[in-house]
Amino acid sequence: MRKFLALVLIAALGAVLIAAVVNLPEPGTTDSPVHTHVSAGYIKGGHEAGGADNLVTAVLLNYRAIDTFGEVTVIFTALIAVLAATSLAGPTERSGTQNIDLKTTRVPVSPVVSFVVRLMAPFIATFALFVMLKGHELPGGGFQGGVVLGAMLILLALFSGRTDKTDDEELPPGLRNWIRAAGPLVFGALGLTGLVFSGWLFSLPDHPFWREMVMIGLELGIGIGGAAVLVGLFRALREG
Amino acid sequence: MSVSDLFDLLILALLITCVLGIARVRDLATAVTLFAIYSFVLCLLWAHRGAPDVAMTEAAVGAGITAVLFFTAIAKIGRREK
Amino acid sequence: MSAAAHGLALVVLVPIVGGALIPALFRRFPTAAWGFALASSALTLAISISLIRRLLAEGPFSYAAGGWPPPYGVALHFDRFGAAIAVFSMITLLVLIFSRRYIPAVVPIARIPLYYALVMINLGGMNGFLVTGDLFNLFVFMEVFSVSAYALVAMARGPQAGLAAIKYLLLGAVSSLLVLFAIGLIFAQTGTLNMADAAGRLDAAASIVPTALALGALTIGFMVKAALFPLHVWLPDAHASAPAPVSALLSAVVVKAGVIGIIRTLQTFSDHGSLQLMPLQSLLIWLGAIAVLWGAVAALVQSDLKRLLAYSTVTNIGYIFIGLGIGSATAASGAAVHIINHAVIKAALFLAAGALIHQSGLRHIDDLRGLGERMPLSALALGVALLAVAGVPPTAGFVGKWQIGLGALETGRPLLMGVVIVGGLLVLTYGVRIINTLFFRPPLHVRVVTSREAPPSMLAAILLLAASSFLLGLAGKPMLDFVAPAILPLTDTG
Repeated sequence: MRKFLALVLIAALGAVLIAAVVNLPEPGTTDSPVHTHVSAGYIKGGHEAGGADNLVTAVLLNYRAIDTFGEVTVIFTALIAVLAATSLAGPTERSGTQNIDLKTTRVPVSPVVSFVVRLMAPFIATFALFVMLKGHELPGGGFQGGVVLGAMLILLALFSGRTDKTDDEELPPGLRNWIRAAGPLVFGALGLTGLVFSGWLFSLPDHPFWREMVMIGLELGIGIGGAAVLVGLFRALREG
Repeated sequence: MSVSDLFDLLILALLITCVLGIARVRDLATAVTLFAIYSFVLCLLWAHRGAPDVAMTEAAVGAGITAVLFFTAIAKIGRREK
Repeated sequence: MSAAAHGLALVVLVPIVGGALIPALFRRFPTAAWGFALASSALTLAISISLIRRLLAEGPFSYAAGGWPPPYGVALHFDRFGAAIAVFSMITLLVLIFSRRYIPAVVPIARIPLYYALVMINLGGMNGFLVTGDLFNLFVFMEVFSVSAYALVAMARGPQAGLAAIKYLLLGAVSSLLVLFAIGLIFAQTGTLNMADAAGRLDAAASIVPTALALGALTIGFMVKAALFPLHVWLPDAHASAPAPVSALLSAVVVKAGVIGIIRTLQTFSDHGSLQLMPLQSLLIWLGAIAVLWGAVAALVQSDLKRLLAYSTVTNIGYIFIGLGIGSATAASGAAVHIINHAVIKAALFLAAGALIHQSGLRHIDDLRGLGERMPLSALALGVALLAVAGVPPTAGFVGKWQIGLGALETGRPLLMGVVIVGGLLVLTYGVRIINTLFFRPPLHVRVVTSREAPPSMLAAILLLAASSFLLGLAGKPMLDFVAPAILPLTDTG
């Protein structure tokens, strides 16, 4: 009975959703409002107005910088949330035998895997940096590059045999907290310096060179901060 | 129907299969793996639809890092759904 | 552009950057984080007051973030609803003052900076949510304050808080998805994310079906955040098991974001030519009426003080939605004033209850017998706030409820007036019961006898809020006049 009810509910919900989506303007046609109103303005403004060949980056870092400020804040807050929440369980409150404590139970790592991971790491890091630095010209940017960098660091932590150390931080804890907050802080700095550059909070400088420099700085802040947050999340989940 | 449309249909079918699979399996590790596959297939769709930025994010976040974080959590709580 | 308009972006920037700095700055001196958080929330309060002064001088104004004119950039907009940020900043400030002695007792010392960081980020998210004029920006800041709120609930000790936080997180995530989906539908139909721009262009959309679904999804999404019956199920657990200052913050401030989200939704869609808001507003009235009665009855049978207060929030959200649903000038401005007054009263209630529970170590109402003799000021504050939440004239709770009831009568709904009155009487019943327990019953529990009055920092916050929940009642008329112009675009269902 419950199963039947659930099915009916889901079918009804699905019907409503499909009815709405079917009635939306046809996607991909050039005359739908999505393409004729605001987006058209972005495309017309192009590189000169947005300051980046990649219009997605122009929207993220320039037109709607305050949105991106909120997004990096959410990412940072997620880490703070996990750190705050994992503290309360404590090692003593956890019970049950099927729980695997990654700190004590180490899966033996094959030397081949370990070697390949260490071999790949510099290449992955270079790619991550490339994605961050070239985000204003090519697809990609701070968020993507940061995740790639974070994934590389997690991969190293998992397979390079460093798991046997209880506190395997590569960075001194004081510096680490600053880097984790890099996203919101770099964006906050942009918010304030925008006042100096052009009289508006969250605006980029008008001079093309400085605008590019600020964009790269923002991408690096988002990327390195994001990577630090991901590594922090991974550590908190593993150790907390 | 062009080849491009066929590609889209294939991807959509794969997506639905993955989602049904996630809903059905009782093993969390399998569910997470399916979830990663879902993200990767979705990434292909974004790339094909001309949204390379979204595709990159989907591949890195959806198929990459979320799966790792999920697995880390599963290592803590056990992989069987109760 | 004069200095005050920058404040519109600064009320977001200052608390969030302040919050992001705290874990890095105060790793070595965790308890000092308190002062920094207090300073940045005081700065935020000062900025929001300067915004209100400007609002009074020249009426509603906008700020183009990044200098991009709307709809290309994100427009921030300040109207008389936005003025609530001053009240919310003030409550956050008082909650921080209360936290100074409370938090070190319940949070491990190394995590104290995390608590203050989350409170500041929560404030920044709330401010952003209130001042934005852009749909996607609204969603982003909703996520900022939601994620920090989930984490704040989880900061309490014990598995109960963890479970409550998970429940809150799951429902909150579904509601966020609904809101995001609705924003996607609106964007697909109008090609813009600016609220005013979208409101104007929705009429020209080819089909009404996606618009109607967007309206429904926004309403349900914000209903979860506002904890309107029957989507309130997360609230009693979360607000009862969170640390006291967090409960105060969530009940007073964070649930109000959902209410304000619904007001913004109704205002955005009210210009629409063919979409009727009447049925939706009638639904809100009904749900509000059920929430009033359900919350009051559920509170009556609670033995846990904080859980009782949590159900009282369900009741009051019900009142606000009755007022919004009626939509007449009287009822809607009453609802708007009740948003503010309930925030002050509920903060007073949760902080006073938190002080009583913290000092005695007891949280069951029957165990608290006679505590009024040991902690007279905290108990007195709780008593005043209980009378205020019941709506006894001339307290702050009376103004909004009276206006809402009056609006019901004016629009020919005497039954609804009955609900308002019965709800008030039920709340008064448990209010008097608690006051009686605290002051006129002999102590039963040994811990009551050994309890001492709360420390000055806690008392200061409690007494200020309790005094305001009495005094704001006397300022009812100016407050109603203040919000009236902002609420008017609501559809009158009379």
